[in-house]
Amino acid sequence: MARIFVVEDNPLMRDMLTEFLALEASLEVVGVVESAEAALERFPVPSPDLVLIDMSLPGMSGMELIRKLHEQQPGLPCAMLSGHGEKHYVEQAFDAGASGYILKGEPDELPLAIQQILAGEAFVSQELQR
Amino acid sequence: MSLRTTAGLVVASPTPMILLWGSQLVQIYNDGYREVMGNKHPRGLGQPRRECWPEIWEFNAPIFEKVFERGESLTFENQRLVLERNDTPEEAYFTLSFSPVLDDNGDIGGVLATVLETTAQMKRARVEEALRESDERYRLVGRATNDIIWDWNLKDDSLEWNEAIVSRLGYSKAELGSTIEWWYENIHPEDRSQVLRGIHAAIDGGMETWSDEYRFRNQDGTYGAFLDRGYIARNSAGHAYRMIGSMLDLTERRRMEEALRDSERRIARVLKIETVGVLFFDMQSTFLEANDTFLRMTGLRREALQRGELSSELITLPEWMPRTLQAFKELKANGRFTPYEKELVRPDGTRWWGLFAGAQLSENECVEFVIDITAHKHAEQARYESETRFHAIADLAPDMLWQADPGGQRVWVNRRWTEYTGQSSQEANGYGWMEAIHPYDRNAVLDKYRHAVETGMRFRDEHRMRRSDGSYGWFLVEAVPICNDDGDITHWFGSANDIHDQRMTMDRLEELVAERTQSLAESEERFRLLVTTSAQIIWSTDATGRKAEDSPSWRAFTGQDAESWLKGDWKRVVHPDDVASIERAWQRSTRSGQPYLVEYRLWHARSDNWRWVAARGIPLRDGVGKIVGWFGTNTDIDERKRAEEEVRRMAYSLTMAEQEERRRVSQILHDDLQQLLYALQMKLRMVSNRLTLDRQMAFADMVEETRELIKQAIGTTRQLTVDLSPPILKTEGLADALEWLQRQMLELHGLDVELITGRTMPALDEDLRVLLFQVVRELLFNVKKHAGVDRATVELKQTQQDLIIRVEDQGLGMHKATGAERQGTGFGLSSVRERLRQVGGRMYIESSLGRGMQVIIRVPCNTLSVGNIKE
Repeated sequence: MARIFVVEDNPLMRDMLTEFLALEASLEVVGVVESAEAALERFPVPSPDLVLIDMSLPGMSGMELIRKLHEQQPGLPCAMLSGHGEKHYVEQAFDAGASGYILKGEPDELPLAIQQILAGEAFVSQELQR
Repeated sequence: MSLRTTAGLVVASPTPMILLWGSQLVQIYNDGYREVMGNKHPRGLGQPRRECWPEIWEFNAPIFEKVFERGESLTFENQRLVLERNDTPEEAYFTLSFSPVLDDNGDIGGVLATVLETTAQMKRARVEEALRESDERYRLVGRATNDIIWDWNLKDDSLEWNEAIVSRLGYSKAELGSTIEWWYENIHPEDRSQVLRGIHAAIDGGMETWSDEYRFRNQDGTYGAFLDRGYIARNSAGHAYRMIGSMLDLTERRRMEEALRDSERRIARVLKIETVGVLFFDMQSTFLEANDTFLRMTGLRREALQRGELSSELITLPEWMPRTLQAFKELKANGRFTPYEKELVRPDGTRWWGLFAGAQLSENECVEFVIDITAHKHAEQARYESETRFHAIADLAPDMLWQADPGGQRVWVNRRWTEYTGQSSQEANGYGWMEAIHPYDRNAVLDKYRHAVETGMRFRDEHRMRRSDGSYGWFLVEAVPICNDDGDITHWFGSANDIHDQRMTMDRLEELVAERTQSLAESEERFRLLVTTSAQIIWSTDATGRKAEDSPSWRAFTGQDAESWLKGDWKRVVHPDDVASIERAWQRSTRSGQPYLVEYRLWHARSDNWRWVAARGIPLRDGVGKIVGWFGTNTDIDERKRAEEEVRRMAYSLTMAEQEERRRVSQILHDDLQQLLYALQMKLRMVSNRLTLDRQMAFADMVEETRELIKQAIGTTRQLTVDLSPPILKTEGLADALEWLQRQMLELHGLDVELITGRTMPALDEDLRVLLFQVVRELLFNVKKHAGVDRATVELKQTQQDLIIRVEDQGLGMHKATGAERQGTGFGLSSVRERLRQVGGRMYIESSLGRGMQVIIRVPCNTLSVGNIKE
């Protein structure tokens, strides 16, 4: 069972993500925090298999968080979850060390993306590949 | 008598006798007859008669025939015979008698002739007769002639005069001297010795005639000139014994000669006159002689004249030949011809006009005088043409025009006159035009007109004239005298202007004037009040704009004294920031003549503060458009200006507020709505899964359909978020935002933007950043929509003073004037400009059709923070 750590500032999204991912038998949400700072502070031990990070966070941005996490744990799989559809964000995310860029659009993509990243592949939402 | 007897008788007789014997008439003559024989003797002795005297045989033959055949005796007295007895024929006279001589047989055997020569007596008698006739003739001539005849007897020096001397020289018979001395004494002392020498030389020199000219004294003591010719009569020994002469009075002839010389001199002078050509020609019209003037006029050469090659045909134009021939005919008939003018041609083809007058001098000689009247003709022609032209133009004139002679008699009216009055030119001429004057006005007009003509003063009158339809109209009629150089009136020129309508409206006008005077006075008072109370400043300058006239309104507004204003010291009361723009505008206007229009802050003395004024100046021009000065006003626009400033400030606040609102909405869309929708999507996904598990497929499908709608809503929201406020602007600098924009333009709009940015960029206030970003985005939209190209360049750089953004494309470009039309949706160039102005920035556009467009935005560095913008 893959262990997922979620960083999301929107409470509704936090609940919904937890609920939605819980439905997936192969996934286990090991923690949900509301900010980057909180994530760094309460980072799960043992380390999760994947960190799902909302890009637009109050304070430290999602991008910055990925950089920080990679400084501490290089190779830690991180996936950017974002409402922004501009491609340059995708590039920025990957530059920061993300392994995937998941657009908040089609929920079915989410478990798929997680599986793919865990399998060691990069993921970009279908919509952004056009 | 026998031959011998007869012969013996002949020989013995002293009387010249000759016997002619036998049929041969052999001559036997005595000594007396030898003289008759001349040198025919002695050959004539025994010679037949005919052989000896052939020259008189014609005379002899019939005589001998008669004597022989009829035995008659014949006698001839003083018979004239021409003999050749001394080799030459000679006239001789004889008294002859012929008688028969019988031979021994009693037959006539010969003729006996006695010959008495009477030649000497006959000749003497003839001389005496001739002398007598000569004397008679002489006396007759002496009496009949006017010449003075004298007869000088050289033997006793007596002198006789005929009667002419009495009548010619005034001497009485008693006074006439009868000796040659008297003649000598009356010869002019200066001539006397010469005359004496001459006459004595002639007499002593054996001359037959003598002549001399000398002065001889009249009875009254004066001297006359005489030609004296004398015949010297000499006797057979050559001694002069008589001299007869005649004195021809030369006084008259001398006078005549002098007169002739005078006349010749005069003629010579006449021929030298440079203005009159003189020509002598014969009746065949061949030129005989001409003066230089004539040759110069005609262009003919004297050599040709002398060769007799010239005639009228050479100088006369063909069309003038008939007139020339007519003159010639007249000359033949009357000895002269009436002077006439004609046009002639010179050998070089040039033409000239001549006035010709001529007369016959002798049977075959005529003289002609010619004056060159070309200039006169040309002047006449020019005058004619000028007059014709004048009349033609005058016929086009809408006014009635006319001309009168110095006496006021009308000689010409223009077409308008005849059209209006219906009078013909002939009817109007003289004083016929009076008929067209209204009967009530006629006498007054006539008096006034006559007075004008008499005094030579201008005529001016208003009166009615009859139209061709019988109605009357009012006219202003004027006539002026036209004078020549000597000041004499050559004619009168007049015009009649239709003033009917004017005259008719006059009364109405006067009424109106009366009516309006009152209201005008009132209005004027109102105007005066307005001027004195107006807030306007009124000023004026000379053409260069340098020298102003005093402007009380300026002084009242600014508190400046007249001296400072007149010195041109206006800058002291103008806001220092505005001086440069005023000077630029004023220079531009005074150079170009374009109206001057500028707004600036002027010191307002009363309020002790700056006030905005709008200055307007217009050039004052003269009749030909030359600027003679400037006139202008300054209007207080402070209230308006402040209102504008307020509007601008409010507009900026509004923009900022709008921007903030966009950002807020954008954020809400992203942070709340989008999350909500995504959450909803996940929730529905879970519902759908459950329904599928419960095999409630119909509901599962409905949920899936709902999810699809929500998916669309998410997409729309996402795009709206970006459009309202690119999220990157919130977090990144302008350069990053522009990079984002670059990608956006390529991805969403297919516009390839080259972005050039400097290394270091100033940190910009977010509001300004947003503004500049929006400006650039707007400009790029413009390129995409209007330039017709897919490429553009955006350059961002910073100088010490300004932040500069350049947006350039190579597209269609545009006219500056239409720039305002090239707007994007909701954010056109004009709004770009306005937004920039709010932050003290400026936008410059360089473009022309087909040459692309370059927009440069400058924002001063000191206003890069919005906080610096003045309220």
